Amino acid sequence: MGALDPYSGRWDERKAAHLMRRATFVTTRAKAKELAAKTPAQAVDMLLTEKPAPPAPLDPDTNQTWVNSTTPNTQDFLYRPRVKSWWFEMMLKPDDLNITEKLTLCWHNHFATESDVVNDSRFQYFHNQTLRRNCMGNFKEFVRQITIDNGMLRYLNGDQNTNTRPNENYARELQELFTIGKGKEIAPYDYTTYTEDDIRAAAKVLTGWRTPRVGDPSKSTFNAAQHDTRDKQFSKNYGNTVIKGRSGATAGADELNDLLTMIFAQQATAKYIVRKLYRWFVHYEITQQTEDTVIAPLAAQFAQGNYEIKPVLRTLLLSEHFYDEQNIGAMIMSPLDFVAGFINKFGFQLPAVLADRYTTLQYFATLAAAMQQNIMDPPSVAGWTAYHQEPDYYRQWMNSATLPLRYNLTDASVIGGGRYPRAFIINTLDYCEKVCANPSSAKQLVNDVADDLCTAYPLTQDERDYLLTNTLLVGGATEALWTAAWGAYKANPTNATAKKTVEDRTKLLFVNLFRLAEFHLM
Amino acid sequence: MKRRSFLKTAAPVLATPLLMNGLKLNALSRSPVFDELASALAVTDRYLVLIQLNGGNDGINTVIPLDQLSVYNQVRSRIAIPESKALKISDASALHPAMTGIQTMFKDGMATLIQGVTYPNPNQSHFRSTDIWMTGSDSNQYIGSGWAGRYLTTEYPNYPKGYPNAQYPDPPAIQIGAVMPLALMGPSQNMGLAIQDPNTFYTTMNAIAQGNYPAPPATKPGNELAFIRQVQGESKQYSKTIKDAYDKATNKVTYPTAQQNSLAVQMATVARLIAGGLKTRIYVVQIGGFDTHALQVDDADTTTGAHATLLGRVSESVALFYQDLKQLGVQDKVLSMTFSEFGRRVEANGSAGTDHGTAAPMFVFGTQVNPGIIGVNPSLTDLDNQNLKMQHDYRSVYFSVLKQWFGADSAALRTAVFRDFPELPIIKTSSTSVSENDAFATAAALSNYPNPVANGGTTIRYTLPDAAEVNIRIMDANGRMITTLAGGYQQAGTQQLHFDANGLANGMYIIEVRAGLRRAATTMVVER
Repeated sequence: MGALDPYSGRWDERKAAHLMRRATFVTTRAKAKELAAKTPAQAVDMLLTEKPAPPAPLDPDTNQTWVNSTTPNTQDFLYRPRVKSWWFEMMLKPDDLNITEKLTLCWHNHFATESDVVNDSRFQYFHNQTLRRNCMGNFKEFVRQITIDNGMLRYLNGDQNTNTRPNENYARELQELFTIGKGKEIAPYDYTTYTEDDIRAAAKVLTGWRTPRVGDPSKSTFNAAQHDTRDKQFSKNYGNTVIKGRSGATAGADELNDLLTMIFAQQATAKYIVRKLYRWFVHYEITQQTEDTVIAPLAAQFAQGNYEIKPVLRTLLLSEHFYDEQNIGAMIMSPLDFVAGFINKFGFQLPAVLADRYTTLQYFATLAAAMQQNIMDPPSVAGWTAYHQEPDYYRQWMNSATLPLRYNLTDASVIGGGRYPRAFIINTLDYCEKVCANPSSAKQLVNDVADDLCTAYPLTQDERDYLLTNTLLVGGATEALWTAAWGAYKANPTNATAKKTVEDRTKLLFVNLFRLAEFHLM
Repeated sequence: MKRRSFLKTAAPVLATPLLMNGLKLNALSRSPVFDELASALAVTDRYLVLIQLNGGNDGINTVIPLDQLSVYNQVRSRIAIPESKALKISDASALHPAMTGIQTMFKDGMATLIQGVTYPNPNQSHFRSTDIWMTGSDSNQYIGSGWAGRYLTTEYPNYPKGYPNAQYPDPPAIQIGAVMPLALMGPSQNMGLAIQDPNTFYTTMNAIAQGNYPAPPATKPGNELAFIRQVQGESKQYSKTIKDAYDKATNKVTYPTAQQNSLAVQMATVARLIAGGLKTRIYVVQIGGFDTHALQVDDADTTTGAHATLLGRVSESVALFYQDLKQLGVQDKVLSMTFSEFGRRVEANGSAGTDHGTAAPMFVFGTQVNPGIIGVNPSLTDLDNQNLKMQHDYRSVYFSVLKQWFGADSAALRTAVFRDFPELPIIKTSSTSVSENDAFATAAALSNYPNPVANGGTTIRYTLPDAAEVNIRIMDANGRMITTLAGGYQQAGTQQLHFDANGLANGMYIIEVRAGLRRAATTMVVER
């Protein structure tokens, strides 16, 4: 049985929930059950359905969008957090069984840009639309669009790259990070896959593109007068390809096509991108065996399939390897997985008034940023280090500065505090009744809440026993006493004392569960 | 100045050894050579408290320009502070009447103020200008990390990986409050912990007793689980070292309650942590409410009102803090500095308030400051678009404080504020000394020859005033230890030993000799 063969084992809630955690920000058991009721293929195909583009963000002062304005905002820094909120809100759809949001974030991590540098909220917005529009489409076409995307042109100085003053920034990252990947330096300036001279040649191919000073912010322009019309010679790594120099209005687009054709003819490109997807969706560790049985065949499919993204994702998400128990729960949640997943889990409602909604969204996006994942502002062009930096990878999300921030969030969700929005406080008693058929049994309640909250890595019996003794039965209470207390509460739910007796203990249970290491795995 | 060129020019000077910690430094003027040398030795037992005044403090009513009273009274007729009530700190300047505590600190030589601080092309948005002050950026530059955080990365390389450890048991920075300020953000990592108070943080990490469970199996998910548990353990360690320090010291003065003065309560916490021995380098405390667009004074008495209340709280907090630190015996180790995102408009508005402005004074407190006033009262008539003109770039203040207080070298300074800024005499030059007793008695106490060292080695010579247990260490320019040389108990008099420098790369090194409580250091250059 091959690692990429379609998964043929038992398809149950555990496997479906694994798929859901990795492919979406949805975190409810109800939705996992919905996926479990389908066949694996049906479930994956549902996730891989293209969604229409979302409407543009609105200015809460005018209720109009500003993103189509033909001139930049004078107070643009006020609008950048709104684009972030606009995107973040799309992750907060508790029922959205679709891969688009996870995948858009994956490509943001891949084609990273920083709003601080892009320096124009309109470009920031259209860049995100480029990411989501192409997220499961054709990767080569994706790279073509990204190359001439205003946000990217601005971020990597593509808009300053001219025939008289070439700027190699984008040409370098295009090869090193976005497509073929940098290999070992086998000779001075020769990185196996490309050479320094290839960077210079590619930069010349890419001369002449401009971001509009005034005009349609969704489109870049091409200034033929700034384009290098000479032939461009590439190294033996690219088979000594020569890209014919052109002039005129279509020179830039034509040469870009030639450049991408050359890069995508290399085997290394498919492998590099497949590894990136693997680290995003499966696990950071790529052993030789994984390389041989997963990466190589998937890369072959990618290249033979003309770099269509969706079929490759379909193969991966349906594979035996993906559902291997070794890969379930083996990923530490990123801050966005954690914060968005948390909000989605409890189905908190965002404020209806736009200005208030932005305030709430910004509050939570800022929390994720403090935990080191600031959307639209990753640390560098290489994206978040958790997805590429050896040997720690996802572990970099967790440290003594960020862990207390997670605790602060989960504690506040149970007991309130600070600026934490009141509408986002969990009603623990209601939640207990939702997930447990018989909450008057302390043991069953602990089990059901634990299994609802820690789905990726089930708690051991030791932990369940500890929780029982130290939360619901804290202070030496017996199970019979809990049953009586619950009964008293149900008999008279408005009696404050009866309610508080059970509520305090359920709160303690939730606070405790949120702090378990298991709650941070996915 | 590039380090290489400094070494070349400095080498002959070094033939006369400098005492890093002795009174001898008093005799030296501040010179580049001295500064580079002083900064080569990390000064680690020093702490910086940043006091953020949120909202944009009205600098003109904080430091009243007595030399321009007619203009002042005219453009601020409804909110002007009467000259008779203002607290003079010089012939030309007086503090707001609510700032009695800070006035006393000026009298005691424990306060300095820097006039007219802002940056070119000031931004008048709270959000944006706060970011600029926090990040140390230019007005048109967007940066995701903070000046203090970047500086701390030079002292705590690779933080948080491998921390806490025996050498650095404590967090680099602490924000007293809920949300980490951008100032403490390193290029890729928060350099601090945000804690409401040590007990709450300790509670956050420990209040919920968590069980000890058997190690998870060595599977892929099990390994990640084990890692998270390890981080939980380390965080608990920080929470414990912080709480231990907090519990070790008690405040020696009575601070007001949080309802009366929230800033004072934050500073009381900082005092306890420092006195309790926490080695955390930078603290941030905050007080809000300075956005005084309306009714910043009471009409009946302009010395009272919202702004007076705020300045009174700041003054009370700082004064109590230093009284406390003095009684706790750590006042010489703590420097405090105020900042606010901007000052306010020269002319008052129609609501007995002031609108967003630009330049404003910054205060620096501590026993080691050069007391007085840096700069002059800003002109109320020579304006830039109705606003005060800049006298000092805010990064000059950061630059000077990091260099003079923490002994930051030029690489660390550039990491923090990106380029060189004019240095302001904020800290007394003599303050690099610990105390006379800590140093060797004579300037000839320590030397090495040859210096620079080419091939072979150098002879280290030192003179002990009395018998002592001797420790000799060779450190690199960043203060990291390279090796320890044989010492032991030695008699008074001149001692010498040979050091083989063949294993060392080219560069500057520090030779440090400790003899009992005394300490001396000199630099050695390896150049082949």
